[in-house]
Amino acid sequence: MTQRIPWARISWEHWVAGCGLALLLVGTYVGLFVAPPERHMGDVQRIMYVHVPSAWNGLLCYTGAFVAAIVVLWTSRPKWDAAMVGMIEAGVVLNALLLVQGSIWARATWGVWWDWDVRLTTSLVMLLLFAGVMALRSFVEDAERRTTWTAIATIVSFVDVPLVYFCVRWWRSLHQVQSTPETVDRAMVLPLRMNAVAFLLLAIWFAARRARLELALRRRDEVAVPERRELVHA
Amino acid sequence: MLDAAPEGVVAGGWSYAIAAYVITALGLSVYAWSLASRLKKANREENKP
Repeated sequence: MTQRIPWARISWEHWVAGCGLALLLVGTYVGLFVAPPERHMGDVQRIMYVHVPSAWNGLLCYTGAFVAAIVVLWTSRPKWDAAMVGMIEAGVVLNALLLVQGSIWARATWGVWWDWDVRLTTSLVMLLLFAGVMALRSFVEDAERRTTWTAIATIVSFVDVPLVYFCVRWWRSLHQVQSTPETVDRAMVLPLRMNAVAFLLLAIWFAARRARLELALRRRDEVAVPERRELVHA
Repeated sequence: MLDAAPEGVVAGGWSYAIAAYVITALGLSVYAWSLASRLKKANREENKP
């Protein structure tokens, strides 16, 4: 008789989350206690090790949602609808964290919690747009229409994503332009990369779990709707 | 235009850095918990006889 090993039952998503969490702990330790403080910003610059990974992975989630939106309009498959929703919601969470971290960093270095600077404003608009997509979705009862409307709203909202990334190069901004490994101390690149991968793994876990939830809700609704129709006809 | 690089270091940076990390950890944990509880509820409703 064969017996399954207990850890073999753990789904791939939990392995991804576990690796992400472990990497985040190590990356955070290195970022807070091993990496040197920045010459002018001092210790407040350590916010970079969570701020930049939140930004990169938030943008990546929205890009994934945009791709899923195109595919779902093409195929109408529930799996892609669920993937789209999962990536939007993970993106919204990271986007919200990005704005809070940025606000704390701004208070320490610029002396204000908020400024209507082009990078900050486009990032806030991005959060409002995608949170709006999720709100819009919750108002539509019919599953097919809900999928189509969400996909169209996602594609329209995505217009802001490249703006957020490139605005610091196109317009004058208080926010610095993107750094490269050549312009950042090597001791700072390591925790940044570790946390970037950690956030990516956690974002994959969030999106996958949210997609599973969406599929479960859809199955529940498919059972509930015929029952409701029967009640109306009776 | 600045003739030289600015001098001085931002003081009190640690409290801001710690605040940002704590809020990040809280945000990620609360969302993970919310996902787990919503998924559990949906699965329970789905399996209801």
